[in-house]
Amino acid sequence: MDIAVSVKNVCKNFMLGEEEVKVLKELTFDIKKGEFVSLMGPSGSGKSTLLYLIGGLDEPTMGQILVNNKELKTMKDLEESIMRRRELGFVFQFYNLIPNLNVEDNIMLPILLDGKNPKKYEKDLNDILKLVGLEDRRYHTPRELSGGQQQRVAIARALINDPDIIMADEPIGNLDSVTGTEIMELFKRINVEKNKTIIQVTHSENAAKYGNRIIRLKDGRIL
Amino acid sequence: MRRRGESRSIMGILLKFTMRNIKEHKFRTFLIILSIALSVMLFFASFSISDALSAMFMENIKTFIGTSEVAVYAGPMSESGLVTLKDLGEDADRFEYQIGSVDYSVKYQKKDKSKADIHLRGFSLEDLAKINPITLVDPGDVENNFSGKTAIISADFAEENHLQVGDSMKFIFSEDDTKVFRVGAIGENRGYFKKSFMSDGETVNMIIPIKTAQNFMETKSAYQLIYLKTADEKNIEQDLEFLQTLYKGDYVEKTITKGEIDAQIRPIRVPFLFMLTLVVLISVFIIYTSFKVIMLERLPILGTFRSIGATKRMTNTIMIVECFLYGMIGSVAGTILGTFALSMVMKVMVSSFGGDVTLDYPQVNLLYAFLFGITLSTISAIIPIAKTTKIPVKEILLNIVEGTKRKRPYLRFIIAFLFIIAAYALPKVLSTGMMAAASGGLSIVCAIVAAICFIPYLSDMLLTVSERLFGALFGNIGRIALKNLKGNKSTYDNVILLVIGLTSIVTISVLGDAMERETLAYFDAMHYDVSVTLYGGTQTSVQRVLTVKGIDDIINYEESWGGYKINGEERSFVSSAYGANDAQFFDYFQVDVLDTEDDEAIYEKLLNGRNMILSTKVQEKYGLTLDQEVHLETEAGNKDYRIIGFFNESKSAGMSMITSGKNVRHDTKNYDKISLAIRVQPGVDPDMVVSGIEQKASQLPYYRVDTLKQLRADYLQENQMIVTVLGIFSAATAFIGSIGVMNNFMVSFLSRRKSFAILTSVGMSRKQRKKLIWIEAAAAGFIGSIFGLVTGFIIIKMVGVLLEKIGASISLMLTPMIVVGAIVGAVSVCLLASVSVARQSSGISVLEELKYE
Ligand SMILES: Nc1ncnc2c1ncn2[C@@H]1O[C@H](COP(=O)(O)OP(=O)(O)OP(=O)(O)O)[C@@H](O)[C@H]1O
Ligand SMILES: [Mg+2]
Repeated sequence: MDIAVSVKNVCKNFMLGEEEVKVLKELTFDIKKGEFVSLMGPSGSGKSTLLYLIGGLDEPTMGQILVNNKELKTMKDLEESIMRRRELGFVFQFYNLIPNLNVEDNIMLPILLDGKNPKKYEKDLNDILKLVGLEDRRYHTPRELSGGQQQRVAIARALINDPDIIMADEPIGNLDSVTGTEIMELFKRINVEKNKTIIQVTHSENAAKYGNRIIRLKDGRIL
Repeated sequence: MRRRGESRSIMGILLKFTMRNIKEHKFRTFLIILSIALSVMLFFASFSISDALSAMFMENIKTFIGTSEVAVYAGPMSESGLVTLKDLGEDADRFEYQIGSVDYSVKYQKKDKSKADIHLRGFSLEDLAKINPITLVDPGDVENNFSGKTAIISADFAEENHLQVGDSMKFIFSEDDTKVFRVGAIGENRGYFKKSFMSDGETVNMIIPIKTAQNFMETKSAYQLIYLKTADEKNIEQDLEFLQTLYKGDYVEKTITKGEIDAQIRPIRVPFLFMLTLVVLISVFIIYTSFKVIMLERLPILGTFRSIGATKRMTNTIMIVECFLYGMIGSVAGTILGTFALSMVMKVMVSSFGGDVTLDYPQVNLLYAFLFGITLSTISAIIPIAKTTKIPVKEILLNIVEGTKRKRPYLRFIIAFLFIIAAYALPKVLSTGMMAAASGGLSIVCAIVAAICFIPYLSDMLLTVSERLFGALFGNIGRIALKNLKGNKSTYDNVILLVIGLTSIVTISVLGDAMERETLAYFDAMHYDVSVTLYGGTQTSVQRVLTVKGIDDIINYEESWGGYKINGEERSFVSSAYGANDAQFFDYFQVDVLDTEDDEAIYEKLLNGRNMILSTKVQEKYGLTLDQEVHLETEAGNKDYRIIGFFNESKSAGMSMITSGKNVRHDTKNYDKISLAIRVQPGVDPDMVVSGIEQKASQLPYYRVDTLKQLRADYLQENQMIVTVLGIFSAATAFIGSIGVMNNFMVSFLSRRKSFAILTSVGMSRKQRKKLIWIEAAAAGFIGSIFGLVTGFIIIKMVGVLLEKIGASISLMLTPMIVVGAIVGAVSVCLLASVSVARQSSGISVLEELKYE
């Protein structure tokens, strides 16, 4: 089976003033294509840090990370950006939408950044809006949406470029349980129907159940 | 007791916190203080300029007439050209003094054989002390003995020519009459000895004993001029009447009074006040937006303070103290800058004439300027402070202030429409005299405010429209850039700042352009070489002028400004009326009467009763037709004028109405002013002719002889100086605006760091981010310049109407230069402002921005 993400001997240290904090300590693991993995662990254990390292938004202090068999460290900024546009989709706890762009524009950002003609993606956009259930909200701005709706927009944005891997940092951490369940159902469908690899960080055992594998971190090590 | 101690310590902490905050935002603090300071500076300068100018003019006029208010000189029937002093009798106490004087224009032969123009003024020392006191720096012994061929000279002249008391000076009275004078004393460069910009700084006054001056004449007890000063200026009209009966047959005329100078100078205030309003607008805007940001920033911390026991009063006090502090520092700096600015403005204004600057203004203006600064900053800051403090602590702590919904979205529209109505209605309601100027100015300000109210809506519209353009030019990043700008408060703020800045620059440069164009056209239409005006001259004087060598041809004409009024209306029918005494007039002034070829014929017609030829502009203004009769009010009563033709004024030296010389002379009762236009023979230097005429005219009380070339240069220079000064003011406005724009870019960058991080997470490369920043800047500048030009265009139109109303109509238009300049300028300012943003953007920690709310 193909490997989507390969983490080898990854260490991450932060400088806190004079002191060096070792957050991730020699992590090694693989995630296969089509897997739905949940990263769990106590607060401060380094889950988010690990996720952003995989997404290339930060660099490991030591070790190798391969995404779709490409090593992040050797990539230039442009290559990395292109990979983020085409092969990765991010979903965050606080949605992170651009506040003055409407739903449609927010979703289309990766397409626009890729220099593609947004007209050609009309159909994909409609399909995704239908999938996340926001067809009637496409001209609203994030301010006019509820938290759950905003998170759907973020998910739609993560899907628009048809990436292989979707990464989510506590996607339902800010939502009530009913909405949270809806979002998890959505992730599950995306995982099963579209065969996307999903890596989510979560504190909820319940949410983790939607996935098919759990990686538990504690003190920067895998349990 | 404890509570008080406690609250004091909280105040202490609050104060410390505020100070630290100010330190952390040095640039913003600097910006706020700078905009206050510049506003105060402009306020002071424009407020004091008319006082200062009038004081300076007064000072300069003293070099001609001292403190006198009335001058008496020989009437047309006098053979000697002299007057004898008459006893005022019982009415002596109506006057402070009555002083006789005799003047001579002579040449002084310098050591290097070159010649200087000298005006010898005959006075007794006692009279001199009354009319124009001079402090002697080297008194010699004139105080005991001021007689014979003795002259008091100025310190400047003494220094220039290395003269000391006791030295002798050779004066050339005429070709065969040279007299040697002794330097009797040297006086301070004041009064008659001040270098006046009005006399080109060339003619030098000297004082000689009156008896000596009289001795040179045949009638030894007579004078050339008699000067009087009234005891009370208010009664001057009666006093003039009294003097006219006393001095029957002689000319009795008011010299220039302070009131008249003030009235003359008042119009200069108008453009400065216009600039001032723009500066105030831009400052209010900058202070207001800055305080909004400050409040937003402080909000969570102020909330925390409130939660631990600081009262609302304390937090308010702290904020108000802060803005008061800014106001104080800014006002002090501004007042100091203002005195510098004023002296610079005066220097620029005077430099074109040559002469000394005196800076004199009411000290209380300094206080006004200071109070103005404090008020300006407090009022602009108070709204954001008040708005914020209304927010309950709970909401601040829960951080739900952000994302305020748009309440009352129509309020802006309503305000905007009110201002539009005001801008439209004001000039209609108040349309007479000085009120017209005031209401016109106010309506311009209203129009600008209305434009500002509309800017958010118009910006969004223009952004939507130009999205395609930018998409085509810069691809998808261009599109994202414009989408980002839309609905963005900081975009509006930038556009507004650019609009105010550009409006001021555009308006001033258009005015400057137009003034220069008009001046050039005015002089282009004059087909002659030398212009002569003789006051108190007679036909004999004209005959004398004619004997000057080098004159080829000469015409005599009449000229009257504002002499004709249309019956029942306050304003003039035409701004300038000319009287032709010769068919050649039409050739000299390039007047092409429509539908006529024959100048002689139309001139003959003019001579026949009260006929006039009007400019097509006047024709259009009043809807007049050929042969129509117009009832006009003149100094000499009501007259009916028949229109016998029209001419296109755009080529004809700014004339509005032409009739016969006789008519103008009678209607305006203008008997003692003679205007001559002279063509010189080919190959003759007009300057030679000028000095020839000056020699011949030297007995006249007042005359002007200039070459057209000189007049044209003087006029251009005069325009130049006003335009330069206003240009400096408008540049200052635009400068404040630009700094405001830079500040906005920085502030908005802080709030946009998160957006940049988000864009990075969805795949924006560093290069794309840079591109986005630059395109956004360029687009903001572009939109700002478009609206700036549109607003400027509207303002220009309004200024045009206003000028028309106060009788100075010039055609104003946007030149391609100004349009391109505005766009390039605005875009450059925004790009420049983005340099630091682009630099900082590489330092964004994507993780930090994304992980936390
Ligand atoms: N930029 C940074 N500088 C210094 N230390 C950091 C930085 N980012 C994270 N850390 C530290 O690394 C550790 C792990 O942080 P991380 O955000 O990955 O934890 P987490 O497992 O996601 O926790 P939570 O469940 O609370 O989100 C923490 O102790 C944090 O203080
Ligand atoms: Mg985390």
